[in-house]
Amino acid sequence: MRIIRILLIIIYNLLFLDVFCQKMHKYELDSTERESFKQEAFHKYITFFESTLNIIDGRLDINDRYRSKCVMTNLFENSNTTVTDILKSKDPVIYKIHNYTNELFIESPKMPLLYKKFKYDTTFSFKEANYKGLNVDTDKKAYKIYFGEMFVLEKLINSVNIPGSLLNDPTFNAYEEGVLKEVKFRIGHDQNKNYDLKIEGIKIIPKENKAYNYQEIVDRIKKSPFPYSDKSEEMYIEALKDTIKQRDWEIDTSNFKGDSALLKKLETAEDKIELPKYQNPRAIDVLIPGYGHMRYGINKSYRIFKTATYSSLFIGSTAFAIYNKINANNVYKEHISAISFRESSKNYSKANQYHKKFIVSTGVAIGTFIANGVHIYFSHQKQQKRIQEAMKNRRNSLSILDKGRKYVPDIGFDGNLLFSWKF
Amino acid sequence: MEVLDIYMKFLKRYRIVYMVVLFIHGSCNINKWDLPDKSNESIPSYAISISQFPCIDEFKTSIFAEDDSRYITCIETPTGKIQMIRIQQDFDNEQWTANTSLLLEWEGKDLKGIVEFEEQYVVLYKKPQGIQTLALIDKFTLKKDFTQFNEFIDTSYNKVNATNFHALTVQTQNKEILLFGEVSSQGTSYSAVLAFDMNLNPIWIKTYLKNAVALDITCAENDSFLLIQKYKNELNLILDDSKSNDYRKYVLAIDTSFVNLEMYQKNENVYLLSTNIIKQISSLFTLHLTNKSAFVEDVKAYPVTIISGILDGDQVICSGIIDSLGKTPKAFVTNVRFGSSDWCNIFDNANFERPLSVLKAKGKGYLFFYIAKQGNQYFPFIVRTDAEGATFDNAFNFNCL
Repeated sequence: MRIIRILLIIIYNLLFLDVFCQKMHKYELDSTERESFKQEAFHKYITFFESTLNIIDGRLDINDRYRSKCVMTNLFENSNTTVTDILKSKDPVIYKIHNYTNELFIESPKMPLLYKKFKYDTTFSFKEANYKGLNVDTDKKAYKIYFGEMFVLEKLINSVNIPGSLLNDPTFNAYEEGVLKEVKFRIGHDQNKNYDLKIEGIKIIPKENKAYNYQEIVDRIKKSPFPYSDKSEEMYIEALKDTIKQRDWEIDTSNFKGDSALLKKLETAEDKIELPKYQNPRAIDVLIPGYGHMRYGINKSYRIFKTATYSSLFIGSTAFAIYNKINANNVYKEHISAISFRESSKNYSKANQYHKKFIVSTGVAIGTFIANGVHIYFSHQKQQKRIQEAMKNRRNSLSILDKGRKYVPDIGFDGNLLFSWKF
Repeated sequence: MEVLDIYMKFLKRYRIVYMVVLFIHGSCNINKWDLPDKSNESIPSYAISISQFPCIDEFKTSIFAEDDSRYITCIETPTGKIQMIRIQQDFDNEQWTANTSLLLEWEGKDLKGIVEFEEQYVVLYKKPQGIQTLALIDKFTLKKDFTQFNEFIDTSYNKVNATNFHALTVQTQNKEILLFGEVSSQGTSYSAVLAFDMNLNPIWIKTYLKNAVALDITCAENDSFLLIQKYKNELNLILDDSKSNDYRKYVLAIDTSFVNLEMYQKNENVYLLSTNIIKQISSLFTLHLTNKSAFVEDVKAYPVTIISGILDGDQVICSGIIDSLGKTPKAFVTNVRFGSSDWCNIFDNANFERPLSVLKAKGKGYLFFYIAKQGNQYFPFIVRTDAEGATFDNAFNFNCL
């Protein structure tokens, strides 16, 4: 036993010496490289965003949409990476990347409208940490690892299906939402200076989160020179593909092969989906207070509240007006038929009181009627504006694709920086 | 949710109701915060002097309504003429006016009264020669007159020296015109009632107490009538009919200081309205002939010089003159019912001389007919009030004192 113990001590010491004597290949990013990585990070996010737009665009070929799904998946560090987003409801949901892409791919055809645009920050922060190289098993050397972080302001126009009721046919409503997202990147490299940049996670920062200076970040992004972007960056991918081909890089398309059955299934399912159509307001919606409000509003209880409020206010004030008018007429008749001025004056005062109540309640009824019409009109206008904005963007995206315009990303490729893209 | 479903069904089903309601809203007179005050227009009220027709300061007449806006009356002019005039009220520019027109004019004096029956009028007056005359006016033309009082009475009472009838009334049931006054025969005066048919043919005459002075007559149920007369220092009430089937005489313990007595009758009650010339208080005596009880109610006005009225339901509508020495006489109107007076009002917009007549309007309220002095002349003056004696400018009052 003593011999064994001595042997173990010797082996431990040998191992310790091996690690200690390992040659450290440290590589620090200079400012140019950092700027290039920053640009790369931006374009990674653009790619992510473009993929989102493509996946949700039901007018594109399903294979292209599936390809975008694969592209998106490969932008992330691993399958456990999470993305927080607003999709089916107004509340943010945390998805694993695979679930997220599936959710976009499968559920988006059921959503009549999903439009996004984003604006990113000029600030890109780096953090560094010791980490082993990319090929840990073969290259036993430690290299620096960098973590990048950027904030993105995202605006989306989403849709909520509104089921039919006694007062309305099925329809949908568009809503706008603005969210602040934090995007984290991870940059690693090996001894051959092959770098790999991955998205490590995307999360929505709520306003209430005290860990962030929410308003300051939002204001900063708003002031950033980058405009809101909602353009499909398909050409950017094409440009990258060209670059990859020119440099004889390998494009991995294996992801498409095994999923033909799924694609077929999805194609069939999509054919069967009947998306609700947006219902324009009818004359009756304007003429009958409360009638049309069951078709406007994301929240069901809010729709019911509006319907109940307008209709009850109108019915109530109208009933009160009628009641007072009838009383005013009756008392006014008594005023006219009175045989004495005293009685006539008393009835006149009483009739006037009823008449004033009638005027006020009629004013309320007419006000409710007008307010209802105006409210319906503005609700419809708002919906139209959102829908048109969302649909216009889709048309623009397609028209850019149809014209075959080339978009070359403004990214610096120099001899020291190489990218490893996987599709 | 079930309630909501029902509610939505209601909205859907009764959408037409909404449309109707909106139409009603639109059609209502909603642009006026205050309703138009129609009291002035709906209740005729005015106090107007008929200055186109001057009259004398003392005669008896009545006023009759053709409808709610036209009235007929007779007046005696200072020029020895009797005029039948029509007064028409109009409402123009938020103001009531009275237009008058002369219907008939003939020579006469000492106008004692006018009665109306089936659109015919009978007038008691004297011809310029001093002959008392009963004239029948039909369609505003003098159709017939009667002056042969003595000749007719002579057939019943010999040697009639003179007749003096004070006023007349209509017995609608028998279609008779009753004149009351005194008949002098063989140097003795008797209170008397003389009856005519509607063609001015004398039917019968009744004489009552010797040296009695007839004060007023009123018709009662069936064909009976009540005659009040002053006999010596007492007031006698006589209930009689044409055939003397129900003759009764009541001696009233009423102070003879009460003058210008008017009498009304309804059911068992007889109302006597008069003014005490000493106390200058007007009183309404309510006599119950069956119970032989009496109740006195003073009129809420003072000092009263003369009063006149009509019976309207269970209340007597009074019209009188308040004449404080040195002050312009005012007219007052009030109601007196058993035990109370609900309203009264005073009009001081003229120099009122005496009340002529009170008329319950066919529409609303009452018409009070006066003689008023203007300068050195007298004119008819009419006051139209609501049912409580008020006008649009002279509001309701409940205490005239």
